Amino acid sequence: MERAIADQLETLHPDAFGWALHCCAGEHGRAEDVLQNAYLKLAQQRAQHDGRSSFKTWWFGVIRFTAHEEFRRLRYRESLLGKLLLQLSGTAQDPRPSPARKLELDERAAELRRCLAQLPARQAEVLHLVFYQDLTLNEAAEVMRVSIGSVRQHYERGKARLRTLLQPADFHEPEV
Amino acid sequence: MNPKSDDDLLAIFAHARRGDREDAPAWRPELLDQAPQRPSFAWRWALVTASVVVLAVFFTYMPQHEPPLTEALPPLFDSPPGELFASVEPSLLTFEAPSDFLMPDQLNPTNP
Repeated sequence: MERAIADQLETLHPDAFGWALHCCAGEHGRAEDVLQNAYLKLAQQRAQHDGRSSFKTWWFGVIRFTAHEEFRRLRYRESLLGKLLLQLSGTAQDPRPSPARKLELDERAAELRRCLAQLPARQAEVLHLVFYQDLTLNEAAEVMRVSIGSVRQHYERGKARLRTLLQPADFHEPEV
Repeated sequence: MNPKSDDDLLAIFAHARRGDREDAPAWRPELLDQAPQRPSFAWRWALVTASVVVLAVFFTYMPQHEPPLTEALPPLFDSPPGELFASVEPSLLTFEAPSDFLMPDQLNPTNP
């Protein structure tokens, strides 16, 4: 692993975790697993940056893809056959966060996450990438692997819908 | 990109970002130091070759104490040659029904 790449990964690590958290619907345990698997892909050279896009957008694309893989695995585990096989093999585990973990989550952040969860996935993704990760719409399009026009549409609709969802909760602008 | 009107959303996302940063797991550089997984073709070929050898030895020296199926089965369909339906009475073959007189002449067995 090149030193320069390792440095970039370390710099991006907190935001990468935030992105993994978003891709995993706010589940910390799954987000950690996804991020760790993404790092493993990099270490084992199963994912390599070819320089066609910026390192950040490429890395976020890898995390997004890894989260989707993890989601498919989770769906399998939650299926009846999967549960049966896991019980037989004795490796069953509850993917849901514990109640204690839920209490730890900040209420306002949890409210934002709840509202984002009500948006279509693409709208929530583009809003997270633009407002949380401070990416441009072009960069968000690269991460999401869709056209800039599509991203712009998701962005505008997502913003309007998110504001509507946040209003009933008596949202007050936090002190920055 | 984000005009002034988006400040409300920027603020709430920034708040969530700060919270997530506090919860983020520690950076573990050792994750990146793992050796790349290269498929060991030598091991794969060795495994395939060993399997082929084991199967060849097994089939070569497999004990053949059971005779082939054709020899093991009794000759069920072997029977002495003879007339077909020899045991059937002739009256069954020349059966006449009471309504035979209604049939046309060319089909009526009672009309030669």
